[in-house]
Amino acid sequence: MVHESKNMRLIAQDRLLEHGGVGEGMALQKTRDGRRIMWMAHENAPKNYTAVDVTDPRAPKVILQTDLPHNNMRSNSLDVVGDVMAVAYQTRSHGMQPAGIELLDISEPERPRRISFFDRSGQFSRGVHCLWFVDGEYIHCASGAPDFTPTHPLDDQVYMIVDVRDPTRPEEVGRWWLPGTREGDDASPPPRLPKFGPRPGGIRAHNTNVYPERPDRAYVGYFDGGAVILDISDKVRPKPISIWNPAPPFHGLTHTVLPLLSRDLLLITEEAVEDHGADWPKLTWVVDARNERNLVPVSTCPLPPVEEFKIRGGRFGSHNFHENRPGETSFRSDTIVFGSYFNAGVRVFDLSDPLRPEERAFFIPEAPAGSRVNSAQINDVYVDENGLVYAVDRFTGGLYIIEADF
Amino acid sequence: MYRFDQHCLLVPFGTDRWSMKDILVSSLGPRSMTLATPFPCAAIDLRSGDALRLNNGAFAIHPAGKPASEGSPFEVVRDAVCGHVDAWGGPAQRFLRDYFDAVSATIGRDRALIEASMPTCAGLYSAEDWLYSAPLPLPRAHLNAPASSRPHGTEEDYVRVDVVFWNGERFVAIDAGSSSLLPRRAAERAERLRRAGIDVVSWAGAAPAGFDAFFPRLLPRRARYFWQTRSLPTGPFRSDALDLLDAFAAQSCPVDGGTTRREEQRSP
Repeated sequence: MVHESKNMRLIAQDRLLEHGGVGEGMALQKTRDGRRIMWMAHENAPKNYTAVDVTDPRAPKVILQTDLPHNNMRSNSLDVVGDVMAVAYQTRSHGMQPAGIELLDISEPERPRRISFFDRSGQFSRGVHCLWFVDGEYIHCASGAPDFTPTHPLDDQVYMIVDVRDPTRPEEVGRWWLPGTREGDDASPPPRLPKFGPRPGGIRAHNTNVYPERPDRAYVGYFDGGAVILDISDKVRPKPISIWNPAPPFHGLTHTVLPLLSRDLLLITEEAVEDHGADWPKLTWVVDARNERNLVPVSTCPLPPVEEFKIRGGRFGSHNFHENRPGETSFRSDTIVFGSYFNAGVRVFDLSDPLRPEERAFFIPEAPAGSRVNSAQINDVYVDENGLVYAVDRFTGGLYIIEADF
Repeated sequence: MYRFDQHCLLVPFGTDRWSMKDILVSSLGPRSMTLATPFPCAAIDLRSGDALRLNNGAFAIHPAGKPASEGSPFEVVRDAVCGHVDAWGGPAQRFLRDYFDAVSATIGRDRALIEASMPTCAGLYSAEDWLYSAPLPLPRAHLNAPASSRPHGTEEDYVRVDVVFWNGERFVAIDAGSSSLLPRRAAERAERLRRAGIDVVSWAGAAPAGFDAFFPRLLPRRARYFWQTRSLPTGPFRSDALDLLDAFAAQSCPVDGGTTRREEQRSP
């Protein structure tokens, strides 16, 4: 199969030294010497993170690729502010190490230097799955903790705020978890969703987005717990404003809660995790947040027919979005949004009328060689300030650089 | 805008979708016209040389002469204009709210100057009567800005802007930051507007205090304050009967320098 596209075209691909499986962490650094470096966290061991010089986007070049300390862990997520990079580390099971966040000085991208390590390992902790670091002061993340005992082993990652104003001494400031997911809570453990396939979902934090325009709010995807808006005006004691959960009857795994702040809208994704569309529908919801205490879904982004895509192999459905990351190297729009949809590729929607999202473009790479599934699995997407699109494959395809033309 | 004839430009606004074929003139007088369109449309009289002002609008009026909704008349006008932005048009909504606040603040600040400027009318008018001399913002407006030197003569030649003002000579468009374009297309759009002679003001994140510098761009040449008009103040509320009277009276009794008129066709 060849690439499929609408209003998008591939200008380069880099298979990342044949380690082309990338997770959910992408950040574009502008170095002091004028280079543009795309940093990516890998989906799985043995690789940790890879840096690609994309100064000439038609000729990307790997300048660094690192290995994890062992194969029973993954990095998955990272973020960059200036010359500081934060990398998440999650172990395969509870009680292992290293589990936490590594802070690195990347002023010389080819030679990262550790600034500190924020250890979150513990008897019931796998460490950090996903992090958000955009202001240089606080990391917002989905993390376990040595003093957190979940009522269910899969509910082991809470929303956590870490103060890194002194990057040599990261300190936890506050945390929030869904009541009932911690041993000792007054609330009863929340009901589990019906199991789909071999992987039951957890009721735990995933994406934890906070924006400078609204520093008193955290927008948290809480997997089977739904989409959560938290008041973090007091970072020590985050308080829930509202929780919206389409599951049940939908199948959970709320992944990203992307606020389109100027328009009082939320874009909420559910991650597809089963092959062949077994957990379909995994949707991207457009939610009216004019009253943030009464979230109202108004539409979903249109996707191609499941009948056509479930037979292509691998996952099909929503995953993540370009998250309007603050910073000079990131495209920001509350109207045009870019999502990653596994075997349905990168898809772009126009939310001018949020009641009727329109597909503006898509790009589906051909199935990359060596993938365990017979399709591309676009895992994450980043759009730079010029509108250039960087998308990554979950298994072997590596980095795709795509030009949008609409 | 759509050039109706050598003296008149039509500007569809308050909508994302419109069609030229839907613009119909239901009546035409020597200096007035009534449009029958399924979307709001402003008619601009190029002969007036004046800005399009709030009191050129045809805002809904109750048969008993009261505004059609709750609030002060100025709030009714503000809400009517803001109502042309869709429910999730946050950036344009914020610009308009700030704009109307700035209009109100200007009258409050200049009260002494206004009262000193009308010594012969003492007691007849209050400074607030000049609120409606402020320029009229048209949200979600569609302006003629062809992509090439050979226009299509169709809707393709039009560019949607968040808000636009007519200052008597040219359009001043507000980019409130709600564009649905990627950077390259946004640059092309900006170039189209520039070639069409349309001023574009980027307002995303601007402070309300910025209006002091902004108002003069919305006014006819040499005008310093929007309340300095060539006539006594008029209100923005009109009835059909007034429109008919104006058609006869326009030649001898110009209002704010002209009789630019628009009429909205509202859905039930």
